[in-house]
Amino acid sequence: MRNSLLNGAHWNSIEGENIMREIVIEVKDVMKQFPTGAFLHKKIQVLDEITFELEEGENLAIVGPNGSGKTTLLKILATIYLPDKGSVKIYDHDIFKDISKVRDMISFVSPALSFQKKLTLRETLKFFSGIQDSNIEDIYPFLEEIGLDQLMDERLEGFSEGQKAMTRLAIGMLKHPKILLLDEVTATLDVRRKEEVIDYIDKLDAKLDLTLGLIDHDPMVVDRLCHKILLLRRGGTILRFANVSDLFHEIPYRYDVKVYPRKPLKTKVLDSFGFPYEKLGDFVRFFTQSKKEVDEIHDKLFEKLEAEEIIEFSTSGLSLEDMYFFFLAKET
Amino acid sequence: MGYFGRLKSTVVRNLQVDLKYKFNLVIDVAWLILDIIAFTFLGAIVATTSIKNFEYNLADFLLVGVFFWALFGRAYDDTVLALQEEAARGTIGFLLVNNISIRTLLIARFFSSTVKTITIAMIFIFPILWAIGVIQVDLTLIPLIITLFFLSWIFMIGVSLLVSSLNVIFKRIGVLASLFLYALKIASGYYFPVEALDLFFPGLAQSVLQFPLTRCVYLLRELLILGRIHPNIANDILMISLGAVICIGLALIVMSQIEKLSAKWGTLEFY
Ligand SMILES: Nc1ncnc2c1ncn2[C@@H]1O[C@H](COP(=O)(O)OP(=O)(O)OP(=O)(O)O)[C@@H](O)[C@H]1O
Ligand SMILES: [Mg+2]
Repeated sequence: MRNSLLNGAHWNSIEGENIMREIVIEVKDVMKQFPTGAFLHKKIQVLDEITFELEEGENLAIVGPNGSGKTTLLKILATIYLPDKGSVKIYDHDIFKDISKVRDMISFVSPALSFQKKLTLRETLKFFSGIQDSNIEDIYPFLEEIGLDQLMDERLEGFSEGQKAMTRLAIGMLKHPKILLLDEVTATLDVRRKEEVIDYIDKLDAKLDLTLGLIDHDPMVVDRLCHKILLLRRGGTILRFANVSDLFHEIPYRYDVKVYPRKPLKTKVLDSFGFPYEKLGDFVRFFTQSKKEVDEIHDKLFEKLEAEEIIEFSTSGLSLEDMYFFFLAKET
Repeated sequence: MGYFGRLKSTVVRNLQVDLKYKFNLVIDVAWLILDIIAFTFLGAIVATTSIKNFEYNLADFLLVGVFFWALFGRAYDDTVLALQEEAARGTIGFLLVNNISIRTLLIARFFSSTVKTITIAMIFIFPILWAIGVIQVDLTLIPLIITLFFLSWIFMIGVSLLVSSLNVIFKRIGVLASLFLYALKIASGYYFPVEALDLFFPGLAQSVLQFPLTRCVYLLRELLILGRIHPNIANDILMISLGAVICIGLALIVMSQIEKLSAKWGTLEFY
């Protein structure tokens, strides 16, 4: 893991080694409002006091509840929106002054991009690559990896949402960007496809020293691809900006166990399990560090209660929502 | 890739799609042929009501209007609709990030529609008008005719950009845009000779005739139907050129400001 950033410095050296790393993205005190209403007379605040930096090769995950401004922030980095206050620099180019230089380095993959139904995949790729001045053969390895190469001459109207998402990603990578911004690209992919996509991005990242900025709700994706995480509060301010590994470590548990008993369990019984827990109505949630501890709770529970006294017993891994609420709760 | 490279690939991209939707092209052609038939009848019926000093066969007069707007009407419509369509397809962000500004996108749309309509007009409309004897072109007049079409074309790019710029701020301008097109068509004598305006608003015709586009169509009619060069044509062309340059210059300035505003207000990605 890289050491923390020196504020304001454009170059950082890394522990002993004399590697200089350039600041790729520098966001300072960004505020964004959108005018709304019939005469654009009202304003809604979407982002405020957003400040962070990213070094070359570092990947960022933006995490937060719906409407917290994640997409808006990504669109500002992509130069689609301009901030109302503050500054954004990409490789030291200001997005207000050097917009076209910035745009040459960036690719933004949006789930809103839809396609001409009548074009085949090959035609679609050509259609978009013409604008980027890129070569569609460059993306064949990716298409092969995820099995889209079989569909080259199929029309997009027959594509599933997941296949369209991968097509969008392929178009985004076609440009050979230095910075790849991904808005929920893996949301519609099945587990296997997700693995393949992550693997491919990971390899590409290692080869080209890409900088990724992504929004994703899957902790696995964030964990595998990102070094830094930006937690946004509702209202668009920063809750935390930190290394992914640090944040995961700060959270005292990995898994939670949901128990739904027929009759409410007594506090004394719950305490006797020896794990932190919380009561949510009829549910009880236990927090554990490992799969082994999950098994322990399972065994103890079925020792104390008959099977028919338990309506539901389920486990799940730590989600990014849990993480968000953990840090939100910690703050207050 | 330089600016013109990007412009060209945007034009090619539009044509690719237009060609894919052949049915729409067939409709365009059918519509134009219907226009020709309708205006021939209209001309024949209205011809009985005489306007003073009017030396044309009214049907011929109207059909030149049809030809003129066959070239520019579709390009205007396509351009004004372009932003709405791109927004619906979610491609505006993609285009912006790839250095295609809104201006470029609209100009490219106008270019590609022009290519489309010139092809249609030259294959279908021109031969028909030639065959039924509306247009009798003297070959020596062709450079002048092309010059006039070119100037109207420049003027119409400016007009289309200006109307589209409203679209960047306000989400739906469809009705307004078509009203504006009607006004332009009336001013150019599409439905009836501009001189007829005097019947209702005495004195109005003279000022409308000074409007560059009206002037252009007026000169074109003289050239195409009567094969006559207006004595004042040099001066007129100068004025029309000036009008076209002012119009497109203004449009580009307005557009570049509006694009910045829309990036601030978020009106473009948010249809
Ligand atoms: N162009 C725009 N014009 C007006 N309001 C906008 C615009 N874009 C976003 N908003 C508003 O800004 C807020 C944040 O939107 P944004 O899309 O950035 O949220 P998000 O964090 O990506 O949410 P989600 O998880 O649902 O994708 C929302 O209230 C949204 O309605
Ligand atoms: Mg979003």
